[in-house]
Amino acid sequence: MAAQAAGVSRQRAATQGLGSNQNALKYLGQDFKTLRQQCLDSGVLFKDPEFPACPSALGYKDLGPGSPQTQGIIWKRPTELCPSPQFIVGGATRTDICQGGLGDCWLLAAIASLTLNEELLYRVVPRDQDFQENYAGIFHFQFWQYGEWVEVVIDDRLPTKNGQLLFLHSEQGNEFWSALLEKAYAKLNGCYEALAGGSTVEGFEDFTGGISEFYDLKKPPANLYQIIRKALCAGSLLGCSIDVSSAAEAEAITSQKLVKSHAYSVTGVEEVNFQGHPEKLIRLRNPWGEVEWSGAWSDDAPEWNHIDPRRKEELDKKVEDGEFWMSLSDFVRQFSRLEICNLSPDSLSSEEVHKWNLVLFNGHWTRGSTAGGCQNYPATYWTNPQFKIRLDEVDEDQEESIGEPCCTVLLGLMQKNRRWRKRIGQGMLSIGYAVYQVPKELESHTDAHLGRDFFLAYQPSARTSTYVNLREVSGRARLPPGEYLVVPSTFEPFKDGEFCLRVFSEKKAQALEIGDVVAGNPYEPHPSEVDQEDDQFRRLFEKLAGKDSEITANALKILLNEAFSKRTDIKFDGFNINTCREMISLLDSNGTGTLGAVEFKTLWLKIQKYLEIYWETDYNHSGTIDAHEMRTALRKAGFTLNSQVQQTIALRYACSKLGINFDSFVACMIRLETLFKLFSLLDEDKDGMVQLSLAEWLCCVLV
Amino acid sequence: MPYLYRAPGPQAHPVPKDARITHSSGQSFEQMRQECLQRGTLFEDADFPASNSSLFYSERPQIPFVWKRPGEIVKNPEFILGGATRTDICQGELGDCWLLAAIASLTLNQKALARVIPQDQSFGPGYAGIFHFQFWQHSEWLDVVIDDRLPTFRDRLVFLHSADHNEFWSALLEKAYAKLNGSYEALKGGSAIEAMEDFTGGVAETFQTKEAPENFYEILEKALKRGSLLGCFIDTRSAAESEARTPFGLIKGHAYSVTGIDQVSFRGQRIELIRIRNPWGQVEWNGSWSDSSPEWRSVGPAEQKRLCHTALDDGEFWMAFKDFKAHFDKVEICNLTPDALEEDAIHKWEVTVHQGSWVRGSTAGGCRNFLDTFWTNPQIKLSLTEKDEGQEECSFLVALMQKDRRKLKRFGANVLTIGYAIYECPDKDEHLNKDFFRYHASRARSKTFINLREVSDRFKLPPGEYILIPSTFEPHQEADFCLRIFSEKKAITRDMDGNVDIDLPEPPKPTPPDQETEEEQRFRALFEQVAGEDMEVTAEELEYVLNAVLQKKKDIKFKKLSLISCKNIISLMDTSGNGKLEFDEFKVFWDKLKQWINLFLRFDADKSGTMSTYELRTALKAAGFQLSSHLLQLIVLRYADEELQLDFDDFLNCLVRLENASRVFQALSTKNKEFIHLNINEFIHLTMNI
Repeated sequence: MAAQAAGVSRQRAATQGLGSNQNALKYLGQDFKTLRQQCLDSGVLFKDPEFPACPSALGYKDLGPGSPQTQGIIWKRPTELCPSPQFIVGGATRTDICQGGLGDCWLLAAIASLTLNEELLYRVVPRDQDFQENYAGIFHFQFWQYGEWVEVVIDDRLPTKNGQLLFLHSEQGNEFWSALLEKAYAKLNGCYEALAGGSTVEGFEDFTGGISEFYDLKKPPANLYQIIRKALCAGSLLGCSIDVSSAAEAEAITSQKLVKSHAYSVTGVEEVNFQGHPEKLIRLRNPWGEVEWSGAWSDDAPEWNHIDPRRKEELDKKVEDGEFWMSLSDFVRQFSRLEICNLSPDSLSSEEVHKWNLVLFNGHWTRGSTAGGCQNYPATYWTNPQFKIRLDEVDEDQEESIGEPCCTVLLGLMQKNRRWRKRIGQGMLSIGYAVYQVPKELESHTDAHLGRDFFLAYQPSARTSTYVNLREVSGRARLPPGEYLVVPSTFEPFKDGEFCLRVFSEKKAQALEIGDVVAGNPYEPHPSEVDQEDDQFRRLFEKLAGKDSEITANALKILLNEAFSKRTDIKFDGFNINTCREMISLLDSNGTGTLGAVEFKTLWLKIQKYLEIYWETDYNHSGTIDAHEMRTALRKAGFTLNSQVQQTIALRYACSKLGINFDSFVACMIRLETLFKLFSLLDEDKDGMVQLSLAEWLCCVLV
Repeated sequence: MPYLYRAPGPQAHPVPKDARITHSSGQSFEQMRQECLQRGTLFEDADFPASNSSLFYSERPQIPFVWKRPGEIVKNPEFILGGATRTDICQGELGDCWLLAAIASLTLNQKALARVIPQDQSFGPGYAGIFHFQFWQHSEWLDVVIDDRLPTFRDRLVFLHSADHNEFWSALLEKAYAKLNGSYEALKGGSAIEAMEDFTGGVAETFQTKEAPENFYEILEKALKRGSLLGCFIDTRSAAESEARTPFGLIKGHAYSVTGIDQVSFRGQRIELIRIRNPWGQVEWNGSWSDSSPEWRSVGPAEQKRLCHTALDDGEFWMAFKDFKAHFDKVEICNLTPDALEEDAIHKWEVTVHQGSWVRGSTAGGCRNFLDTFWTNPQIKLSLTEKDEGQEECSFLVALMQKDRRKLKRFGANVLTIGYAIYECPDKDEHLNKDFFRYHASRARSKTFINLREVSDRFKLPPGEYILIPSTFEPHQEADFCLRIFSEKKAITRDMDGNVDIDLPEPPKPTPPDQETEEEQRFRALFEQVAGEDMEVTAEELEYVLNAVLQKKKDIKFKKLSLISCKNIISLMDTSGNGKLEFDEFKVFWDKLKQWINLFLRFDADKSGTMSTYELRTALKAAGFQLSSHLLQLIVLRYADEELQLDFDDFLNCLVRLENASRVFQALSTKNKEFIHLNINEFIHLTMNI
């Protein structure tokens, strides 16, 4: 209820640290400790009302109620499956993760990688739970969701068939942390079936809050070595793998003892002097702990004999531990993909690493206001949300060959909550972003949303290569210092969506949302400006006005519609009674709920002014204007509004075809005028903040 | 612009040093004077121009007036010559003798006079054609600035003037008072006590001596002790009798002041005496206890000294209290508020002030003769805890004043007939409803409903809790009022309409799809048809769905639901913020809507499809919203039609917006239950959505 208020209170909580890993947001308001204590006190095992053990938790289509795959499924607690269940046996390891009857291998791979880094793992799987102490059938996990950490509580009833876990399970029949983690993730996404299909990176990001990059090693970037070295310094997780052309090849071992379609971790890079030439080396690890590369620079390879023994001592590796060196050139030749998960600063506790600097923006694309589509749609493209970043410091130790000093930034644009919408047949949107350098003369204009002309005149300095329907698109850009505008968009206009845009930068970047300034300076007419009064008009006013020379909302409606009935240049069915009520609210100075002659004259001048603006905005003279044009019209009328308010206006004042007729247009302007006036009256000390009691707040809303 | 929220409840009594600047420029007297001095010009007041509009609103002047500054009329004008005295006040061509009488009484109380006429002005150094005066208006002090152009004819002041032709304070005071009331003509006709209140901020009482209460002597004694201004006079039956002299040396139709009251022992008896002063300073009573009457001979010299008995012809004299009652007709008391009194005055009134209004359709309920609407009037709770000294009861004075009627005269507004009633308060701490008044009689009430600016009366009631209901005689009559309660001991008052309390249960969970009722299944089918696969409806689609279903309902007459209501519904129910309503959200709303329809039907007694706005308070209460009068007034102003009726669409709209706003408040006031804090971004964003 009241999505907007929830949004505001969330924003406020976020500024106070809610949503960090240490202070995770309670998903659906469920608090683990409270619920567990309640269960312990009353001596019952927890049953989660928010994610009941029933068919709807499984799925909606293939796993939907009544489908053949769900026949015979029984929900059982681990204590009913084996005599002494354990949460974790001998540490969480990759062997604890065996896929079940759900196409969520991407998730498993992500969980598997997570087990390699204990520090990160225990952020997701809190250690304060097991089947022995304080067991109450309740468990909790923490996931990163669009910029904040969310704590998800579940009960431990798991779907089984014939006494076996249906989905993810551990090799050890009595170990359950992985199955429970899967359940919690399913709850977060609506149901188990929503987990089908995805990319490892997606899971990985939800477990770490990091941002991922892919490198196709068939087309390696020139500074690959630098990238890997810096990523390692920044504590990022690096993985690489060899693509396979068929499923049969999976885990096949090549002649040089590399395992295909298997995830290796990158653990180091070094440069050594080999026979007078510098040689770049890379260290990899096979998570199996065995099966090592047997080519050049492998553990016992002869190349080691040709380098400085002291250096060799430093780099030396023990025999068969799964970790090995190879030359960078061999690496590029043998492996197909390199994935880097760059961690956000908060997930790294070490002081030594060079952390990324993170800036996060949240936003919406809304039909009719900010869903502008890509550059192919110049009429609406400029209405997309715009964010401004300022890069001041260049990277450290740049390679000279690359040219002018630059700042490296990593941009990730992620669409929110789409997995939830799968159920109703809405998949991922095609999304992308573009980065524009802000010309010097426009710098420090934080309040102005850049208009159509800007985008016609300037080309982006960086952009996503394509618009893809992935949850996240990300990319690395090297930009000279300066101000940049980031414009996230969907491929097609008029697509509703929510997103979060993350900017990882090596050095501090300053961020500002464009158009976050809200201000109103509407036109204030003075009735004395009317030199010539329309006689007929005055007679009508006198006729409709009561004894007290005041007109009510109904009379005002008749009066205005009479005046506008003869106009053919604007298309509308006359003013709505609510619009007339808004007008009276704004102009009624003595609280009678009616307008006197002077007040009416002021109103009339305002309407004339708005008509003028409406006319100018309706450049094709169709008689109505498009919701996207409101931004221009509002600016002409003296209102500077942020994207949120623009979106609200489109929702409330545009029809479903996104047209805004003159009635809605005036209603919107009048309402804004009233609200700005109200705020400035309430804000007595002019500190930009008002304190309202319930009664005062209701007054504000009702006027 | 929107009638902003005023905090309900009693307010502190204001004092003149906080007088509010009233000039449209927002500048103070001193600022404007300095500006004029620097520019070397004389002040010209644009707010009250020297033109006919400042003189009259209904008639044209009989003679051509010329506006002149005192310096243009006489050679050496003075502001005050030899102190402000009653001889400075001579009536002009305007029927405002009541004002003059009040100014005359004011000259008798130097402290009160100095508050009205600030001492920082004269025609000497620093003169810039600008003057200012301070008046009390509806429980605040206003600083009124004027220029010194006065209407003249043949170089003579047309209106109030001083006996000394070069003394101008009284004429300027009249001008300032005229400005306060809109024009000179607005001053025609009134009662002295009204102006007396505007000069002192006190509250007036009038007693008919022939029908005086038993403890009349004590009342006057206490009033004098409290420093109240007391006047008395003898009625005249015809204009010819005015200033006629009775055989006992008293003047008819002439305002005397009461200056003392005491007792002497006379031949073994206690005799009650009263001291009167003729403002002329001469012409005295010649009956018993007069200056040289034989009764004094039986009084000991010590007692004579105590009573300051002198035989001088100074206009002051004693008379027996019973003779006083027999010869004089009326006593007017202007009870002063504590701030108007000298620091050392022992007995002061305790004062509380309530501001309120009667608004058509919500709180203009009329008097008890109109039972259906009487209960909707503003209600003020009065708790009397301390008894008067040595008494079993508590005395208090209730003064109900209608505001600005004199100013609105030019728009045809007349003084309304007003009054009030006092009921014993039941235990419940809430706005009393219709049934209470049906079955309970009032404990006390104003003597009459009368068309005066102010109605005031004195009461004596045992300690306890009472509800005071101010009203106009007829319902649907609008005015602002200010209600003042003067009590001997501290009395606690509270506005019963001030409490805003929202009781909104958590919305229920939608029924799971497999447990849907038949009705919900029908809706699901309709929804699928309208919304398509995503099962979300836009406002237009919702309008279609709701109207399709509601039109079939036989028991309720509807105009169609409007698109705006549907947009408001979506704003209330939509959790995702995409501007569409999901089916689950719709199900929750439908339950709510059914309750609201039933509620509406309960109050739409005649099944006309509309309900009276006076029922709104009860209807909203039943829906969980206990609102203050002020909020109800806002709702009525916005939604009621000319007949004070509300149709279902507006009722729904109002409920949806109220609930939405309340939920927002709940969501944002988690830390501090009392207040929410919003910046401009949040404020605009949230309010635009409701």
